[in-house]
Amino acid sequence: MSVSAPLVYLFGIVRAHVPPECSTGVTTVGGAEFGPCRILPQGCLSAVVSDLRLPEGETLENFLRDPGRTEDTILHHHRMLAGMVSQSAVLPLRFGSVFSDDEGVRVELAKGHDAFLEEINGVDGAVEWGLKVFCNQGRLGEKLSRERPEIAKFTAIISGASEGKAFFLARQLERLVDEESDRAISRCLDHTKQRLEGIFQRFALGKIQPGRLHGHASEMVFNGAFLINWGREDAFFETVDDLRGAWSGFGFDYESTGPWPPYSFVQCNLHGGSNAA
Amino acid sequence: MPREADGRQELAIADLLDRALNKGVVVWGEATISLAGVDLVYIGLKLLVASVEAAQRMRDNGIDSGMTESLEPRN
Repeated sequence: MSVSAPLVYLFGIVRAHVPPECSTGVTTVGGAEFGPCRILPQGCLSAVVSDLRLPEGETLENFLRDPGRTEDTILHHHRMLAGMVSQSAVLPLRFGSVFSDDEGVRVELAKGHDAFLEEINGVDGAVEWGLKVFCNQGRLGEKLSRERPEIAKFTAIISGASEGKAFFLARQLERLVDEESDRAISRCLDHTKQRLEGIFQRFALGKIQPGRLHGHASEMVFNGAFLINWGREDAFFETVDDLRGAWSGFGFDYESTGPWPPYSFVQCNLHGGSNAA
Repeated sequence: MPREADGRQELAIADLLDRALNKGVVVWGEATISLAGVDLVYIGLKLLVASVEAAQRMRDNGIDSGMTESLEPRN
């Protein structure tokens, strides 16, 4: 049971004249209760918030020390934003933007009003899609070994060489295949960017993820976010399909994620309040 | 309007945490979370997400709806 005074959790910022329809019920997350979505207008903008009641006796900091509860809360944060993004332009807040009352939200909204408005104009009518490119290096190496005359020639020389010479030649061949593979990856990524030019509005490069995070059998060679205008998404998907078809024979694979609220395309960073460092 | 991708739905928890914890607009609440506390939470989660078991547990709990959709395979 939650009886403590509610905090105010800020999910996102929208234009005041197009408030989104969002959750009207109470959502329980890890023992905490998120109340119905509320809209707090301030100038040309509105904050989308929920009251947050923590379990009795819990501080927010302690509540978030539990990884399971924090994961669930992050998912709730995302779901609220994902529900808004198809309705209106929204600036997604970073997870954990919590206030003690509505007035605190309004103060921050007023403080950053013009910057927020500029940001929201920059993502209006568009959503974020993630695109990852993976490369099966073994398959790429095999393909190059079959098709590149210089590699095929090298392989033939090795097969006729003495054991000692073959060892050193094999090392050289390995380096040659690696160099050719790097060039093939560059060609693939250049081609990808070239094909997507004109389809995306903005692009943000992401971090390459290790295998334990992305879960794909091949190595990630590209991780990017694209801001795509509504109405251009089909062109994006079709182009990704074309690219997948064009490069699959070389061991490349493409994976898209989304649609995301435009997390990767908002820059505002306001540090305010009495406890802000 | 954004369209729903065809094909299987897939939870990409690493993608979500990268966005929700590292990106988005930053507006700190005035009196509720100390930055040090939040940073600890972030660090803990980043360590946690490195665990495949954690992602699997979330998937098993059925919290993938409305998340990310992979386009592979779409046909």
